[in-house]
Amino acid sequence: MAVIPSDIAQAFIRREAAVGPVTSARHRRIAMIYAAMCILGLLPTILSMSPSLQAAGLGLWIPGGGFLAVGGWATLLFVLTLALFALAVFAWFGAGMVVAPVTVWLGSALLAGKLAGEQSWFLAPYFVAAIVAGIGIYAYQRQQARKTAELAKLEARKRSIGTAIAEAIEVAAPVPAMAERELTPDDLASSRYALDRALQPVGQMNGYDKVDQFQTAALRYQINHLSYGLGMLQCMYTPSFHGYLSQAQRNLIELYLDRRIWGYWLWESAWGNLNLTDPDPAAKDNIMLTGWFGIQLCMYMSNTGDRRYAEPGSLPFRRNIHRVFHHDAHTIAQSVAKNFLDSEFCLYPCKPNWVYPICNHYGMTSLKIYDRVFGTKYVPGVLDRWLKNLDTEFTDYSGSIIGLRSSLTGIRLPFPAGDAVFAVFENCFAPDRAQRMWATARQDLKYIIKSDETGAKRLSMPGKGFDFGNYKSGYAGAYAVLMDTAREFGDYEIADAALRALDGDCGRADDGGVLRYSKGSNLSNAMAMRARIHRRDDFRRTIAEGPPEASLRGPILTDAKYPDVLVARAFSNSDDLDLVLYPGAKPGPQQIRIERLRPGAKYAMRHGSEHAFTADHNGTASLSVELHGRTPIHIVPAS
Amino acid sequence: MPCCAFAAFIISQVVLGFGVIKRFVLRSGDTLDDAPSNPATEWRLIGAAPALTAPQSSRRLGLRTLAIAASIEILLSIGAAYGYHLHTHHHHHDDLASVASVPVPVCMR
Repeated sequence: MAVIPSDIAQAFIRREAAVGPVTSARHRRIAMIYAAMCILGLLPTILSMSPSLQAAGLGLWIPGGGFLAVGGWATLLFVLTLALFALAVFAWFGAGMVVAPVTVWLGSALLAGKLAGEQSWFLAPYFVAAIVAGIGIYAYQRQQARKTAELAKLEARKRSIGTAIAEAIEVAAPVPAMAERELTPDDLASSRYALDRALQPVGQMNGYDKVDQFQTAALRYQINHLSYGLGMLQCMYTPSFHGYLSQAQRNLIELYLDRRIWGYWLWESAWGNLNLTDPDPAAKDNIMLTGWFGIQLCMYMSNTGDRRYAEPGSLPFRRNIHRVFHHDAHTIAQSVAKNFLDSEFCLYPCKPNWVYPICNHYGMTSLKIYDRVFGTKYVPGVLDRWLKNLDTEFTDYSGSIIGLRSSLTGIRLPFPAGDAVFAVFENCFAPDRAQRMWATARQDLKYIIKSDETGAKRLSMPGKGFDFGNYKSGYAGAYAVLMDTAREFGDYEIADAALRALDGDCGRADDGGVLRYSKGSNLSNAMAMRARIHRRDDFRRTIAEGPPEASLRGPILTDAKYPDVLVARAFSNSDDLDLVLYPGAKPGPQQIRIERLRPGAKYAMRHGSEHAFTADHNGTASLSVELHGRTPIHIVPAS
Repeated sequence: MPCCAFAAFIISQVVLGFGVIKRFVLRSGDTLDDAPSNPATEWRLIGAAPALTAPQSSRRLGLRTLAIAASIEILLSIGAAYGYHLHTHHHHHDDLASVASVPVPVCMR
């Protein structure tokens, strides 16, 4: 999509943007609750009530504060409770366990009350007040320092944004024509990484990282990204090939319904939303499931025209033999749309009360593709408010989108997020903003582009890196994301630099016809696969445009043996079928099956020489083809 | 003693929690060059038999560790709960002793 700098005339970022009205209201509410706790907590001391009440009261000021009033050995418990509280906050952040910090805080206050002796330590109230004041001053100073740094970054960005956008547009390669689309042997080897995982029997998860099901290494994200890669491949390179490529996507959709994948919500719904009776995974919150899965579902349906997942109840989330949550593509999309409308922030939580803007970008993207496939208008109905809230509630002083915010308290936790990650999604539903975001991210990336020993440009990041797909060190995921984004915006210089870094640092291995990165997680490998086949605007076109209309009507390749027959290109111009095949194992004859031919019509298969054949009364034909390296085949109606 | 049980319970939570963070999040000691190959990526649909053993064995080890940790957790929780029970029971008797001079109605059956 052509974008010129003058089109991106929107105001950059307003200074007051970092704390919007909803966030401010949450801050006020939590401040009032805390003030009430402090007043309530101080009353027993002021009124000289029993030592137990005094200790419990001080425990309301700070977790474990009551143990200071108990005195003696119990003072040690104050430090331990603080550490336990930190862990509880980690559980709250990591798994939406809202009850954990509340339980530790109030529980420690009650326990201090129980442990209190005849009298409380008279200095305790002063100590507690001093500690609380110290923490408050430290937090305020940190916040101010961060604000100052972000404002300085904003000023620098303002000075360079015009040039940055012009430069990003100037270096961008044009959108490739469909006639040019063909997977290279490396692309095919990379796609086999995803196909291998997707084509194993549904329920088996060989080749996946199994760490936890709450955070970024969860199986659901691995499944989503494997499917996105295959879906984009089908849309951009092989829209007229269904066969094992469509089967792989269906397998991934059906695997997603396995309770091992979505069962985390039974826990999070209980300890986060206090919902023990109706933990429907596609009702309240959980955009990390509905938004991500919605894209996966609609990509498949958009590419193939198959509407099986739009049938009522076609997606059963089975909790046990008694309880099934019946869903389909419509209810998944409706859940996203309804939550957007119901949430004061418009953006809404993944896990209970934690709003991640990145998952909300997935959610909006899922509505974009759903609107196109089913003719609804969810995105026009909600996008303005969504973007306004994104700018005012979820953007820092530098103009970057923050990682996450608590919808209960309004607090923001430091969680890595980058403009590059958001830009790919915004390119689907707000391309002008996406262009600005990519231009900004691109400026930051210049600092990590270095020359290798051959003089070629490569990305080089400091430190050991962190792979969100398995919580180990490594940069496979980071390089893959940057490569993916750069390709989406046509910046092949940065994409190639990222690919060089990926190949050089992340343990590239080519064995058995499969390309993988041995030092990356499965999630990173799935993202690297998509990045490798990605070209300008591919993700946006997959979401917002879909495959060429002719490919949805014309002849399709429906049967080819995996991995013996690899499909590098499959397009139809309505009557013909243009294929490029490779042998996956060894050269020689292979059987393929073509469908959606005109019943009883005569066709010619141009495959070196020309062979005539006739479609049967169902419009199908089984053909034998000789595969030797790159093998172009063109099937056309006989003249 | 009961208070020690409670303290041990809290300490165990903290130590185990930090252990989990260190192991799964911080991964201290790892370097980029030394980053081990991820066995999950070695798996292939066709001809992958040798690669299958590594992830399974690490998973078995993980389950064993989890089972041991869970057992310790349960024991500590029971110990802490029992200790707390003793503690409150002890205070209860103190209270009774302090009012021993007051006649206490006793219900005989």
